[in-house]
Amino acid sequence: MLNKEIVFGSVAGETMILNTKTGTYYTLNQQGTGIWNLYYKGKTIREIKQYYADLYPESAEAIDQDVDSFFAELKENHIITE
Amino acid sequence: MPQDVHTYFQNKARENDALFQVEIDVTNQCNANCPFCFQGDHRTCADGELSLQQMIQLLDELREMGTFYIGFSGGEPFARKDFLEILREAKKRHFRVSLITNAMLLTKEKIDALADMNIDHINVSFHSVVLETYLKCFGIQEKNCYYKALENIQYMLQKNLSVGIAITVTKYNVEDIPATTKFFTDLGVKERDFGYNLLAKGRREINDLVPSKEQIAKNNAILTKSVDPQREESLICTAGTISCSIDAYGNVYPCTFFNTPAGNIHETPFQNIWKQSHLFKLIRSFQDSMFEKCSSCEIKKYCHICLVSNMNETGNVFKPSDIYCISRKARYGSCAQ
Repeated sequence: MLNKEIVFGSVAGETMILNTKTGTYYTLNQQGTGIWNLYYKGKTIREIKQYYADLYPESAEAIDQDVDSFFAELKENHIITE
Repeated sequence: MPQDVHTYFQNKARENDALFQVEIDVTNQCNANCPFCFQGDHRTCADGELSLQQMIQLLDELREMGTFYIGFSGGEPFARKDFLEILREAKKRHFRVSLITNAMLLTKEKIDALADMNIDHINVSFHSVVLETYLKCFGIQEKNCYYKALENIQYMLQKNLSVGIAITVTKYNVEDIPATTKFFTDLGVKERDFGYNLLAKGRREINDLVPSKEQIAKNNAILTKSVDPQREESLICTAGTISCSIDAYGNVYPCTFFNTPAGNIHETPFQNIWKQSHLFKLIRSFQDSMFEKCSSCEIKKYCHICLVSNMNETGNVFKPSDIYCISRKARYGSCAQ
């Protein structure tokens, strides 16, 4: 779930996230924006991994690690709650 | 990635005709009657306004489009009974949400609700700290409105809400600007959160209300405090390029001052209006070089080209009026030195 202090917007495949409590901006590239959009629309982390694994079956292990790492960073920066 | 993320995304939005910011005027109802109001005459009932469900649908579409900011206005937005619900729905969708209000209709309970939902910024129109001038600028007679608004601003600041003071500068209140600014600064409003709005013609005549250039110049030091530093992007304001406004009846405009809509969301999906309306395409075709007088002006890095003011005041979208230029040069002239 997104922290309630988080606001965001997207332009041409990139996303700008602002923590309104700290004033810190974060940006997501195209791949990050893709994951972010799925998460925002209610997909679980497991479902997101499955979605990309279905698209790129030869990269399933790397996808697993990348998605975990992405969400770890979001949690570390208090963008999402547990 | 440039250091200023916000500017990077604003510029990227401009390059991609992406919608970065929207103003939604939730109602045309208002408890005040400002002589300079750009909305013109107010309605006293909610007939024809977008319903809460329609507002939610619109918010979902804006979220899908990647919009960052939503500013809510009116009329007086708190004249609408379900306004807090609209704000909650906007915050649930993680927009950066601000609103402009005269604060006269607020209560402690409503302010508590604004704090709970983490509203990002509240601009309060408060044109003068002098009671008689305040009443004149709002076109009202009830002194209680002044005291109520003040009480509500104080409570907002106590709740650590981000509060700005918006002052429309007229010949009535221009002399009160130092006192009004000092009063609210002492209360806790930050210097950057004062907005001094020079008059622009909307649906009411404003020529008799415009302060003289001497009056503006006399208060120049305060009026330029909230001016943005030199910028690199276009001289033309963002209306119709990365921002637009939507009125209470679903009409979509480049900005709230335009009197001709680009479309209506009851007839055409908002996304289609944004991408395909002729009015927006026309505005997006404008280049700074088409505005001959402005392109060579000494205050071009501080002033904004206002298409509506040009059309209202000279009839030529590319040409500002002398009154517009005189008042802006009085305000920004010292910045350019």
